[in-house]
Amino acid sequence: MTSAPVRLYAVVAAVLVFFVAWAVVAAHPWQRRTAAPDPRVAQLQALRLRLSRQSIEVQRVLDRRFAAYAAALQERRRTIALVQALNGRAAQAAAQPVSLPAAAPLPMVSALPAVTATRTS
Amino acid sequence: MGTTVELVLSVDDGHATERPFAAAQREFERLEQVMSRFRADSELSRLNAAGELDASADLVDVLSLALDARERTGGRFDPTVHDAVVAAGYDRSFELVPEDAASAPHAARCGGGVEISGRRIRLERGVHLDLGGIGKGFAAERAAELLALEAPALVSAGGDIAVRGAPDEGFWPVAVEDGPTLGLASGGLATSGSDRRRWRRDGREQHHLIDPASGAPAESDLLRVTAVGADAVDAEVLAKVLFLDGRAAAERAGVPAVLVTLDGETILTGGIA
Repeated sequence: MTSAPVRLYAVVAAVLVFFVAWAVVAAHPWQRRTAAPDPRVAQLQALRLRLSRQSIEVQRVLDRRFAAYAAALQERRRTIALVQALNGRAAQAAAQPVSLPAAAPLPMVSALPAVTATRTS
Repeated sequence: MGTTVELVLSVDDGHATERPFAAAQREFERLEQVMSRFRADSELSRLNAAGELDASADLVDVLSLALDARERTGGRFDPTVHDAVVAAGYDRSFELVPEDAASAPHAARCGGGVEISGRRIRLERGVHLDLGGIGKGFAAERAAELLALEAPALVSAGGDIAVRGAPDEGFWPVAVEDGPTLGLASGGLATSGSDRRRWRRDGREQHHLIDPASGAPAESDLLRVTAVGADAVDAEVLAKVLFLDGRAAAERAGVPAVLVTLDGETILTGGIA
């Protein structure tokens, strides 16, 4: 007959083995190896790739549009400056209708030989 | 441009001038390709054909000046006279215009809408542009700017004169046909008249100065007007407007000018003495 301590050790070992076996069975390692991959994962990966490419393309389009906008803005500012300068001239002409601006000296009749001539062309 | 161009630099004997003159000549040729209505592939011709165009900065600039002049002169200077000029018979480079032809001239509408938005130019339906009236002055100014990098310069484009700086005398002596020699220190000079580009259609005398109000060659008691302006473009506009206005109004305008009447009388006005 076995002694009480030996029996006790045997029971404890059996309980341990039982729980280890239970854990192994619960893990279903044979199922993981044989189970088919989840199609939803592949779809998600494809979607992620597509979105990434679209994002790059959208960024390119935005960059092009912004460059065109910046060029048009610069041109518009140039036109505004030109119109403002012309309006300034128009305002000056209105204040001094059909006459020379004060800065331009009046030409006088000259006795020197001419370097060129003006005539109807 | 169907006209004679003169380039003058005030330099010492022996000073090399080939390069600046060549640069100025290239600028004239370049601007002719922009503004000529007689070249089918010019920018202006393409705009007139299509009715709208993404234009170069030069075309936008010169057209802006022309429209500003239209505004300032109450429409007496107008770049939309193209159809009227053609209807009068000036439909090709002047040396090719027949002196006399049987086809009857007719008036054509002027004063249509022109819109400039950035570099985009849009013409109202049926509107066509002629920049000959302002183009020579514009080109003369551009060429003078180039030459002035070298020395004091004078550029004459068919009698439209632009100057930069002055020679030792302090001014450029410029002869006025049937008038005195004027000393031009700055600004511009231009002459408009009905004495040179003339032809006959259906027995009637025509000339190239269109009155935008009537759409026909202007009737004036003046033969020729030489006007002084802030620059050659300004002078061109003033000369044209004074011609249209006639002798009495031109004398009252206060613009320095030499007026030659149909009777051959020469009048100095606007303080020229």
